[in-house]
Amino acid sequence: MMMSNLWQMSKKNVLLLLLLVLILPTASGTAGQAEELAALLQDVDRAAAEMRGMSCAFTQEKELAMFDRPVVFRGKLDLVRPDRLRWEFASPINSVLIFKGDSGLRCDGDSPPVRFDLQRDPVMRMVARQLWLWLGGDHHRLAEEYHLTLAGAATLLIEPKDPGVAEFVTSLTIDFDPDTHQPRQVEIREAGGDLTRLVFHDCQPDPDPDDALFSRCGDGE
Amino acid sequence: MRCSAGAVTVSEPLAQPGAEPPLPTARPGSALLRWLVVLLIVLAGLFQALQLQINDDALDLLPGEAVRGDLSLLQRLGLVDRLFITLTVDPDYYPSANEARAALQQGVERAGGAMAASELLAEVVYRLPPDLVRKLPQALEPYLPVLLDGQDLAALAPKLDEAGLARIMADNFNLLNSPAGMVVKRQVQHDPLGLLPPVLQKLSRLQQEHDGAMVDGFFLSEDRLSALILADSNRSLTDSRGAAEVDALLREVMAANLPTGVDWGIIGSLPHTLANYQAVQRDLRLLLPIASGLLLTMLLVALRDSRVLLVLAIPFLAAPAAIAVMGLIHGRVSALALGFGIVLIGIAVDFAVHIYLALAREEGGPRALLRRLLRPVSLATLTTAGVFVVLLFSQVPSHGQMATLALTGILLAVLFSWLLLPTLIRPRRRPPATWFTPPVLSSWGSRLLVLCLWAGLLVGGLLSWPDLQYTGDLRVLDAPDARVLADEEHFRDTWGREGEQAFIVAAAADLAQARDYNDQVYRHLQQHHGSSFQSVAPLLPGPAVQRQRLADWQAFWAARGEDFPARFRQAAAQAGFAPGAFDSFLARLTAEPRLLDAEAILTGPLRPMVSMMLRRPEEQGKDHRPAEFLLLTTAELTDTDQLPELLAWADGQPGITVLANQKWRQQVERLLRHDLAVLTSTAALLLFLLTVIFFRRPRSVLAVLAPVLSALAAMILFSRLTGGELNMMHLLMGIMVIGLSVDYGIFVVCARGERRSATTLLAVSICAASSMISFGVLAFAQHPALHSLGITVLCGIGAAWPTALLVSPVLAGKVLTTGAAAVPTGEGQG
Repeated sequence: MMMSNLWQMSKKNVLLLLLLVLILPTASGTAGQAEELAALLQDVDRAAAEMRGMSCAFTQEKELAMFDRPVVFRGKLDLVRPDRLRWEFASPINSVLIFKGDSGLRCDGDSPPVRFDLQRDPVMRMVARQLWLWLGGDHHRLAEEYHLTLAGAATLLIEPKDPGVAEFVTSLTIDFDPDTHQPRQVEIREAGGDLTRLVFHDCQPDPDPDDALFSRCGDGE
Repeated sequence: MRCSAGAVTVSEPLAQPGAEPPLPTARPGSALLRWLVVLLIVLAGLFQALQLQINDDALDLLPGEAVRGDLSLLQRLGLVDRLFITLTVDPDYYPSANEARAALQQGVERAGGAMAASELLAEVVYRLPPDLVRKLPQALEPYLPVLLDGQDLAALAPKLDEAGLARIMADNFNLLNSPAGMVVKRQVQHDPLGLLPPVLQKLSRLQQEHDGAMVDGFFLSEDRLSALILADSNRSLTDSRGAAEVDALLREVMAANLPTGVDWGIIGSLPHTLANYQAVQRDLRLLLPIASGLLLTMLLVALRDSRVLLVLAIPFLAAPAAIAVMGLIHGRVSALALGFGIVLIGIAVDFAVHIYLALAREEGGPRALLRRLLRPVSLATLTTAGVFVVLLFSQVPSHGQMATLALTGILLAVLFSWLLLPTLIRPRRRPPATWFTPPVLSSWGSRLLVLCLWAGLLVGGLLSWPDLQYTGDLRVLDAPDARVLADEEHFRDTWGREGEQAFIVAAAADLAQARDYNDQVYRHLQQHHGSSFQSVAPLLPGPAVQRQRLADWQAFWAARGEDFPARFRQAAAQAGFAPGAFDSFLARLTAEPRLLDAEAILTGPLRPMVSMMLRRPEEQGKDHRPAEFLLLTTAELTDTDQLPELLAWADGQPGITVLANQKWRQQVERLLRHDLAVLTSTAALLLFLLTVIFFRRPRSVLAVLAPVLSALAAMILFSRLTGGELNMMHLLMGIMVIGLSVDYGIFVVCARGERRSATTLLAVSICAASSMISFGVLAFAQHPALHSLGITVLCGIGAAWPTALLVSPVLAGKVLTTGAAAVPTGEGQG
């Protein structure tokens, strides 16, 4: 009887021991990841605070179920925090999207430019909001709306908390430059498996761009 | 004809000085019987009066079925009990505009949520669903064939040729590749031709009424510093208790939920009801004690008899029975009619004062005195009753109720005074106040002067009459305080609503028919009123319009040819889209279109906005008949021609009613002016006829009517000098003044040449002074209604009183005897 009880107790202890063995490395791994995530975010915040703006060339690759093949666009991003952004495609077509404060401008090819007010245009407001969350460099705001996970040494996986946002973006993977801590590559996974990959290169920090860059699409406008 | 019974034998002994004379009613059984009869009537009246149903319905104050019908419709629409709350943030409290806006939105969210949780409020609209932008296309897409009109399709047609399709597909392709692509992907896939945007454009009609924009579901002002909350009250906001209850709730909610720097203001019925109630309370708290003190002092000093309180009280014993009669005749009665009717019963106090003074101070014994008083009291009662009989025919329901109460009350009050006062009042030797000496105009010069002054007053009144305007606008009796006015100004500045509005109501027994009528309103306004109107018609077209649009839709796509899907797919493929990218869109395009399910819209994401413009029968209160669905369209009246045009158009349309302040004002003014002219003329004619029948001699007739003429002239002259506008209070109190002043003439003329004339003049003076003190003190009220009431009585009685004392005796043709001759020597004179 006593032996049986001892066996029962030791069986519990063995199980407990096994559980501890299984859990401890994970727990220590989670704590470690959290620290690494915090360190990365701190670096990103610091880089963003030090750098008011940037200008980068980029390549965008879209794999959408609606497209018959992956589509590659090339262009340039100009960004001045906190509220000026110019997203320009140079090839295969010329197209510009500008956000400046609460207003914006969109030009497609030879079509006349379309001005919009973010307060009145809910779609563009949502677009601007997401872009600034991803590129604004304020991880506190980002963390309010997204789950943040470390997916690599300098790679951040972010997933929306709001099911409404999750309807069109399921996750973003942002790969930071280990030196400058500026985004180097962004992968946006959309509902239904669609993927958008942005690769930034030739980045210039604090380029001090002409204000006209955020007021006009081109020379004519 | 003499008023007093000249053949009466004064057989009863005079009361002896120094001794308390016996009660005039010799038989105690008779007195008991009188009291029993009166108490029985009072108790029966009380029993019935307690079952009276009182309402605060403002409609009872308005004349004419048409006007009342219009305002009843407004009540059924919920507009009377609607709250418009503006929350405004002071940006100085916050470091940035964004933070100020966030605080404002937080305040709206929390306060709106707390309001919606209260049972006092219904349909609190403070934030549209935040996912409205995402959900709206899904909700509307199935109904595009019936939401797009002929113009929309005509605008689309040229874009659907080969080049057009290629351009559309290239635009879609570029859009999907832009940063906006993720957000608009579903929309491009389901609506690549952009069929939805024209429909969404027309939905702006749902919020056309105010300047501003929907931001994150909040309705914000242009400067983003203010937000709007709309709510319907479950309590009547024209009733002070209901308004106070809702006001207390709002104060509590706002205090608990608004962040620092966010203030709130409210417009609608609630602040006006409360401001008026508080103003009346303030006035009455100050003026009633003053009036009561002055009245009692005057009566006690003038009569030196505490029993005078009984004289004042006995006529009001008639009130319960009179209220009961009013209730039996009219059913539910207006609170205003009840209040004013009881005040009008106060006219009967004059009769009681005459009876009291005759019993207490005249010689001849009670029976002889009462016999002598019978004629003037009957005549005066008849003429006063005649005035109120005329008022029974007013087009304003509350006037009729008031007249019933006053008429019954005065008749009963005179009867009670006649029966009860002789059982209480014993002759007294104490003379009237020593200061009171009846004025006697003995010289021709003084008589001529008085007559000239009187004639001047009459001429002045006559000349001023054409300049008077009757205003039916009840706002002249409104007393908004500074806060109410400031909130209204802030609302206009913030939301940009300057001009007057017209409410166009489509009503029918079923929602489908009401929507058809509403479509007619929409079409008419689109053609004639430009853009300044708010309507649900683009979202809820009626079956007739839907059937037409379905036919147009099918014809439109038939005209594009059977090969359209193939051409569309080709254009999509050339732009870079996968072969099946738009299959679901093409399947919907070629499917059998269906009619819009109104219930789906009414329970969908746009429900909060639609609910403010639709009222189902069950939402319109229990008492309202007939059961109808009501759809509201509001149009801003920017041009003076717009309302007449709208009214003329709606006149020929079934199920459509146009409501507007301007329309009511005109109708109310016309009807009340008609009432004023017809009722006053009829009352004047009646008074004249009664006077002629009873007095016959032209001089006596003129003498009786002289105080009435003076009162009318003085009231007209004063109104002319102070702006020339008459309102409902002037009309009501004017009728009361006529009723009072004709009695002065009757009593004075009936007493002419008799020994009791001094007592009569004292009685007339006490009655006039009482009325002037009781009502005249209200001339100092700040509330315009009370002020109008007071000033009317002050002017009218102020002119009628001296006319009765000075002019009527001269016109009657006999000099009144002096007080010394009339009053037996008493203790007051040693």
